[in-house]
Amino acid sequence: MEEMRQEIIVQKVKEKEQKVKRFKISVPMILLYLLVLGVVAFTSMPLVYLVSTAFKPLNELFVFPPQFFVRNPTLRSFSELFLALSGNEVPFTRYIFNSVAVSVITVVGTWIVCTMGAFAMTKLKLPFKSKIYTIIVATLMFAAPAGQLTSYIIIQNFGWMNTIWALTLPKMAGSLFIFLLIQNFNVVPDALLEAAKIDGCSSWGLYYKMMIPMTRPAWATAIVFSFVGSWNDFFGPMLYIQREAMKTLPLALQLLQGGPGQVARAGAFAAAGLLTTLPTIIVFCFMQSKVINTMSNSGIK
Amino acid sequence: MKRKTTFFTLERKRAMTGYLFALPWLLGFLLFMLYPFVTSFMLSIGEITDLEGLQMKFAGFGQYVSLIAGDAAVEFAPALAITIWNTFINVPLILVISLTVSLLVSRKLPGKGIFRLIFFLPVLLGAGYAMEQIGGAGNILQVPENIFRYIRFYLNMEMATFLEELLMQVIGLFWRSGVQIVIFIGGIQAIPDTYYEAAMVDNANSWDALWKITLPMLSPMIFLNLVYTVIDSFRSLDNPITALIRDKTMRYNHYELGSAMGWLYFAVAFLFVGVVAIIFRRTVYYEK
Repeated sequence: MEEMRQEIIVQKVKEKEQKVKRFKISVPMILLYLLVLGVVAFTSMPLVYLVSTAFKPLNELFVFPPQFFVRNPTLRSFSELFLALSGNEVPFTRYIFNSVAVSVITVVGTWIVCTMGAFAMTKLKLPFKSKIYTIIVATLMFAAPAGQLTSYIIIQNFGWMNTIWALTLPKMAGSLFIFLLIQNFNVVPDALLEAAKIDGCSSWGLYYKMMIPMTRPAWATAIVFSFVGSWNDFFGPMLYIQREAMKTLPLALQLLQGGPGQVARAGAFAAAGLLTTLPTIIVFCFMQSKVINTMSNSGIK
Repeated sequence: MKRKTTFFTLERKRAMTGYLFALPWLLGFLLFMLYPFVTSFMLSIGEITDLEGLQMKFAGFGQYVSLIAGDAAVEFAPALAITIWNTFINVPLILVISLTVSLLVSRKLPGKGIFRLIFFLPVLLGAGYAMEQIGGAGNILQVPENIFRYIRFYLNMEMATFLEELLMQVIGLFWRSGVQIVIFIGGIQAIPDTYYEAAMVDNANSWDALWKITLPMLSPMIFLNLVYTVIDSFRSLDNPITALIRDKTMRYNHYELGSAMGWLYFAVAFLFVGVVAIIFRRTVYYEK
């Protein structure tokens, strides 16, 4: 008996080794990989160039022929960016604070509102469920600018102009995230939830202890996209924010444009670009394991 | 003894829980999505009498007539044609790219974590928004412009232009495949390993497994992604129609015309998605 088990284990280990080996050796696989890697290098070129430009000293910025990579990295562009923007009535850090506050509130709000909504739409008894779903799908296709006037008037009537609410609350209950979450929540088997219910789990428990952990990849994705959307939003702040102290980063960076010395600020532009893209990368790296380890822990086989 | 009748029957109680969970979303959706959606239709067949209070009176379907066969068609029709054409070209490409990428990054291979990260970086920065910031019109940075300057220095004009176009197209497609890749990876990892093991025992190779197991099992996801990509292409903030609508409403304050454009466009998009859904729904394989 013991021997047989040993044999099986040995065989399994061998199988595993073979599997790894086969994948390693396969030539077309490697070729395909190289091809895709090439495409990725191609694709990420603007980003690499952005990073490289942000650290270039003045003489490398305007050298001809233009250089792709930085030779002597310096932080000069960043200090110049802070200088160019600190002549205003509010310090540059205020814009960063505003952007962070708006994005964090939007992301947290979207997460709560949409996961709860998707839970109700998929696993709870909710009258008019299919009609609501049809409306969600329909509004997915609606071009947002056509409804802009109404949104503007609503926000004005609520007295939300120049407040953080104008930039956060309207974004929380969109149709896109709930649509994606509903697709993923549907995959969770009802049998699992029923078992928990029989064991005395409340609806809140089902939501918080079952659905949320099991659909983590789906909502982690929603968080990433909601953060990227909110962090880079330009039209929202442009419409609703006039007070300098309430402006967010994308709007504030507009100040860089125009005026004398615009050409000399090429480095500052790149630094500003890097500053705006960096948080999205950080948030993604933070969420990456959650985004990608999809469904591996769904609890069923 | 008479049975006590309560207002909260079990049925109603359950519906209440559903409503409680859905309430925050329903409120937000009604106020910031559905209400603007409906008023924009009223605007498209009306005329504003009081802007602040959003009062309007009925004015007929003149805006639509003008959009289809009148003055406004001059701007609207070409923009619509370009948008539909772009959708035709881009949707299959995006689907193939995102499927290939997700098949590659869900392979059992050493170092796949790093590969995933590399693949995801442009995808993440994209999602449309950052792309607008880094490149395209009205940007704060001219990064692609600078890269082209670089290319032009080393190549002759024709080759440089060709390369530029290709670069922008490829980057654009990759940067718009984000959600699709995530959906595909989810679908691929939900396929039980036992299927592949059984196929391997029956002497199938990875190529067979791809066509006979992965793709059929993935077909609901492919369908979802197809519909999503079409929708995304139509609602994208940088396609010519949405730009036109934004221009009309926000810059020139032609709210009625902008709304009519939005609704006509909506009808076209709806029709398009409906046709796509009807054609491809039959190819979906559901495991039951």
